[in-house]
Amino acid sequence: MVKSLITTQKLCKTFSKGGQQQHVLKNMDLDIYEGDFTVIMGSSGSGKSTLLYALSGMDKPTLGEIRFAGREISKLSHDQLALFRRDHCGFVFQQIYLLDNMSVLDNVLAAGLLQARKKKAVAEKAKELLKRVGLAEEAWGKFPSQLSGGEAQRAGIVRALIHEPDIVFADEPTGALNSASSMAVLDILTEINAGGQSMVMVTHDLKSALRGSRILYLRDGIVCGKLALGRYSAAAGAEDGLAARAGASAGGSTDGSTVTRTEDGTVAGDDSSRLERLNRFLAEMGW
Amino acid sequence: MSLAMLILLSTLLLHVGLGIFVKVDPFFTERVEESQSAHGIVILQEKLYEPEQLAYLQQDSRVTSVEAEQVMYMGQASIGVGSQSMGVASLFMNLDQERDIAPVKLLQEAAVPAEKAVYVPVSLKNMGYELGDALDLSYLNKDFQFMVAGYFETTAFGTVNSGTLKFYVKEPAYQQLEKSIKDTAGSRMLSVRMVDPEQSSQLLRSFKEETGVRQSEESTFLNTNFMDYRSMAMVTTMMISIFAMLLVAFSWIIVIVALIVIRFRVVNTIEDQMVNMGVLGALGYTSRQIKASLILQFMVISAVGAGPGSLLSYVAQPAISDLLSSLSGLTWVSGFQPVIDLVSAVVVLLLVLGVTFAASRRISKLPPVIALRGGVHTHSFRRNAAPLDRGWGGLQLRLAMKNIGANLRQNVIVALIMAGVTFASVFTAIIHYNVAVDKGALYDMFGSEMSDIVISAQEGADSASLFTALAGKEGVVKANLLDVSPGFMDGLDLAVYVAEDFDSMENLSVYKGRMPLHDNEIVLTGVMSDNVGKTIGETVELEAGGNSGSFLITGLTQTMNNGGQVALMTLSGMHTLNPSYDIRSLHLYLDDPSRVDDVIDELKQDYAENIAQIQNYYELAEMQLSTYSSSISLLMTVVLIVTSLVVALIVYLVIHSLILKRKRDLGIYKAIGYTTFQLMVQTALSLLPAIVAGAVIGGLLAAWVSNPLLSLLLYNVGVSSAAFDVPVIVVMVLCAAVVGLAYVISLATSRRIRKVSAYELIVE
Repeated sequence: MVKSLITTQKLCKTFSKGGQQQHVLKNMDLDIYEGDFTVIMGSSGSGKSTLLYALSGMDKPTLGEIRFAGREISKLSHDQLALFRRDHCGFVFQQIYLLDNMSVLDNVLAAGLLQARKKKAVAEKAKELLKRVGLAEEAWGKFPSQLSGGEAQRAGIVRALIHEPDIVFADEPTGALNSASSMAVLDILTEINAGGQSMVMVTHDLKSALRGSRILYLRDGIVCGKLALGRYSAAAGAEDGLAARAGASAGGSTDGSTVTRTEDGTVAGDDSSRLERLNRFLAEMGW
Repeated sequence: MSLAMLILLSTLLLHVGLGIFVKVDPFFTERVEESQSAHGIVILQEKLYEPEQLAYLQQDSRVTSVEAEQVMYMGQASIGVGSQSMGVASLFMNLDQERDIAPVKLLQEAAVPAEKAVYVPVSLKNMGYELGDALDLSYLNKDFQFMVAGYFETTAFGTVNSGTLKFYVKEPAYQQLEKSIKDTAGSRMLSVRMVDPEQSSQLLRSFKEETGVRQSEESTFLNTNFMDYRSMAMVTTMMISIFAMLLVAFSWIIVIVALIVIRFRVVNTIEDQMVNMGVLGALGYTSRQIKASLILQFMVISAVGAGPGSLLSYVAQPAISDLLSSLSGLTWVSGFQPVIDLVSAVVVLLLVLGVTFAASRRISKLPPVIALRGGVHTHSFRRNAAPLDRGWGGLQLRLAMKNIGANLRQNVIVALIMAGVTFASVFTAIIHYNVAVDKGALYDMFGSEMSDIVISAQEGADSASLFTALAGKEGVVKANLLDVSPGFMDGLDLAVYVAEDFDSMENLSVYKGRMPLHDNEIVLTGVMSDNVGKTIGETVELEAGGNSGSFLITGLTQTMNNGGQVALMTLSGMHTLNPSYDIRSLHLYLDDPSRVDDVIDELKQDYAENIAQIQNYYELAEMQLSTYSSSISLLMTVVLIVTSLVVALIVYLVIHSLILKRKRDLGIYKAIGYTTFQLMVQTALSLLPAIVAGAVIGGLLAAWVSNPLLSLLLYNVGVSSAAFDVPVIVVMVLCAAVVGLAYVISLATSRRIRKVSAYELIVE
């Protein structure tokens, strides 16, 4: 049974600038499912990042409701939202945003120790995760300025995961990285999602979007298209060097998008058809 | 705004302090010249006066005019102050007498019958004498009642500090006094005006040498007086000088604080504006132009503070003038001081210019391309301070420690500033504590034996049997014989304290060596020891009672009496010079000091015929101290208020710029789930060690150097080894208060963090 993790009802976000109102998100009804790798796409100014940060409790909606696992978060104060993010969310930013004045390991622990008091256990877990994302031990003691972009973003991902969040929000995580680093970061995110981690990612990059199990396309503050791609598999390989295959999704589509699921929940179609379908979808959306 | 406030404060304090400091000497000189007052004064008992003495002064080429006048001079008089009588030498002069030197200048006058009218120095107004009040004079068992008819200003004998008070009475009252006490008090006052007033001490010295006149034993010690120009100036302006010195010192602390803050702000501004500077550089602005605009920005802020600072000092002038007038007994008119205005403002602005220029040098070394990238980001190999995976302390504390490490230089500056202001606060609090709260140490430094009652035996009375009787009275726990006699040493007049047993004294003590025990021993004050160039283990020649003898210095003491020119010797020692010498003062110590007034009444009743004078010493000392303690209280209040302001400003500036600098980090913290309060505590905590370290260093330093510093400040009044009590609890409370205030303000200022949003990370 597909379980909705985040639900929005009539979600609106309006910014005022120089006395002029700019409606960035308009009456958005949306569900984000548990275990999904939801990718939000759209043209520049369509409201992708605004939606991401509204869903994650980083910002408050102007109108409407956001429920996280049934709990309404849109009315929480800023400090309550901070506690909410601490308990449920992980973030990966385009600009990475590691804290300059501390080592990689401490950057991770600064988030991990917020919840857990057992220093030793959290440190062990941080080291394990850092190893898992391919950061060598000698990098743990380095400062962010001493790392490459790819290394820094891996540290950023570990920071997002250290407290075992219910969902990870990633805002253009490869936007500031070179091609090789982007691939590595995407592989890590894919692998994490394969382990059941819910994830929402904003991107305008096709290769990144292909890693998602579900695509939401935004235009002028409205979700104008949804596509269920199913889970990406690195083992299958793909023509552009990306391994792609349709994998088992944690649940079926409930939003009426163009995905076709088998009875056991796997998505029909092979990797090439996956890319093809995404391309077709984006073409339909006018991307 | 806060920087302008700091500049305003420093200019204000510097202006006031410098204004006083620079004016002290000219103030006295102006007053002397304006009132045509004497540069040197000799008062001799009429029976000692000879016309040759006047002739000697007249023929001296340094002298421009001399005036001899008959006066009533009562060395052992006491005047009624409140319910008590205060022993103070009293000089009564005839108001109706014409005189060229120091003609009377009355400030206020009331209608009082001529035979009762007395005109008193204006300093007595501050001691509570109002026009029309009674003033009782008691001299050698004779009582006179007067009424205060007016106040006058005088540069000599105008304050209790000088040990003598001058009074004017009208002809009928003067005649009455003359009739009654001419034999004992009739004196001749020789007033001298000179080409160079500074020569007066040499003149009086040669006068003594040539005429053989001493503050001599032929009269009594207290019935002869010499006063040179320096001594007059010193007793009049001593407290003003100390007050101004403390104010100037404190204002410099504030100036230094302001400069440190400016440097800090310039460096931060360069950091914040680096990209803009890069843009300007790329557009073709030279680094000199960019630097000039930054310097100009700070100069304008400083000018905005310095101008009103100078103006505000004029607003504060009436209050300051009142205070200084009460301290000196002379009307202090601050007036318009354009030079001081200019100097204090220019000094502050030049210092600001220098510091801004030095701090902005970095701009010259910043190519536009680097500036556009936000500065050089080289690899850092610094140590990861306070790692989070190990070590003691909670997460917040460890994160705060990281921030300390990251802002080490800034923290050192904050610690230095805190140390400076804490030092100033603790130093003034120590002075205040000793002057206004627990005066024990001050009494010790006075060098007066502070017994409960001091009794002087009547001339001709059998002092030995009187004192035996008094010492045996019920309620008396101890009695000490102690008297003061004139002496002459190495060309200097001095007061010799003579006692049977110095070891039983409560307040008289030595700070080095030991008290005199044998008849060939003497103790000198540190000041006297410096004057004669002799110290412990050496012998000095003392002249007293018409004879001279050699005495071994066994110890050093200090006293604020007689300008520190004092020696201590045993009665047996004095007998080697003057075999007929007799101690005529007895100090009584009561088991219940609260009964002192009752005991005095009883003694007056029982021994009226044998007692010349009886005094409640503590009450008199308290009264004399009250002027000082109120000015010290005022100074402490000013210092504490300014300290609080500085602490608030510094903490505000530092936290404010920290938040600006760490805006990105704070956004990240918020994004990963830190609450505003956690970040507030983290920010405030990161500043706390610097604040605590500064407060502790300042407090300890003040506790440690207060006495040496006071010894320097008070050397001229005879204190060579200040031993003020340093109340640990006061030091601790003040340090804690500085830390507490700083922490509360840092928390309050950190509230701005709530405006920092994680969302700004995305939209930036």
